[in-house]
Amino acid sequence: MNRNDVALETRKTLLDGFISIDRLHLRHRLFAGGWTGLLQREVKLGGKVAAVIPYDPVRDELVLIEQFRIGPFAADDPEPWLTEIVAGMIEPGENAAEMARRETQEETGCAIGRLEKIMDFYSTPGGSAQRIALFCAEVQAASAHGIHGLAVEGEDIRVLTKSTDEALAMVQSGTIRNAISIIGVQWLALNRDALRRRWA
Amino acid sequence: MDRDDVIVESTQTLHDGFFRMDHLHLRHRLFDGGWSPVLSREIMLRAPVAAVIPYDPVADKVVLLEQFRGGMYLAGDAHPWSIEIVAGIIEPGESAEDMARRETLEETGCTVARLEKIIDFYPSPGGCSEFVSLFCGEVSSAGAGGVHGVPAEGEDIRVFTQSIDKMMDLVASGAIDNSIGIIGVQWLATNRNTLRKRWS
Repeated sequence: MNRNDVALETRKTLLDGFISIDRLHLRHRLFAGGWTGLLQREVKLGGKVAAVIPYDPVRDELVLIEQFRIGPFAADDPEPWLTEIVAGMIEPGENAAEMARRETQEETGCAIGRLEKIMDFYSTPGGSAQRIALFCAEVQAASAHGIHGLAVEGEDIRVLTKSTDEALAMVQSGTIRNAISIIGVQWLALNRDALRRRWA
Repeated sequence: MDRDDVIVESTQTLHDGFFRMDHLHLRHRLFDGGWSPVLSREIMLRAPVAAVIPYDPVADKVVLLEQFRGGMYLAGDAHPWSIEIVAGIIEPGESAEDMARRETLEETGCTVARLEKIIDFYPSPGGCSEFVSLFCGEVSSAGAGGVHGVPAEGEDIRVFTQSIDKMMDLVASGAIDNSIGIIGVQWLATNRNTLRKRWS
């Protein structure tokens, strides 16, 4: 089935701020034939996000960042600072690859060599239109350290480096616990041999 | 740093419908010492979710679902039906394990035998409190198929089975493009040999 199998009846803006939410009333075709009743869905409008695994293929190390996150704070997480890969909103008119380079430089201080697109995905396709473009970027991990981020945007980012195996263990232990970063670390663990050959 | 390093100055509820949206003003401690200025953060409050990889260790196959997703539709996706593993909101008073078993039965028709916790994560920690507990559930894929879901909840779910290798192809091609599904597939690709030994 595709978009033509969806009949949008009404669309209303519920909230129009930093985060915007629309309420949709729609019907869609059923797998068994026929149509659903009228469904109500509240959906968060999407910005596009570029995310980057900053990877040093020579040392087999990732550059990770640690920062405060409102989501875990609101979920009563005892430690609302998360360890993550690089990610940021794509500004209108900017392409994902340019954004990936700029954000990696801003958040980690690392210059980027090669940049490879990995995949696109939705963080939560049921309730949000947000889509993520994931890249892997070649960096020199030895140059990564210190505190970064734009103070005017309220960013306070600590940079650290970990081996791929250490990062995978941090996923298993729950230290790395956001979806984009887990996907990035798992992908790297599955693909690093091929990637290191390609980038040798 | 932990929760005690955060001071909430004000909380305002912007929307309270299917989910709630709050606007917080807060300050937090900085890595270098001292405190951030007052930061403005909008946060979508959502209930915790349990997700399940329904895996048949004998046939080495996964039971997958396909269903319409409002976020993909709003993003302009040409094919707003998503290929996913099992996931659903944990009801108050229900454990994640009970929910995992109930939702797998509801969405796929399969009964879960052994159930293993894998990891917990935030799908979108920058703007949403949603927290996912991911499990792997032992099922028999032999009878899995057909259309499932609770029509009263607007669910119309097509069930099918797939090998792990084929699922990795679906991730690489973008046919599986939701974060929970990708994390489940990549976890299984990394861990299936040890899992099959444990469950044999």
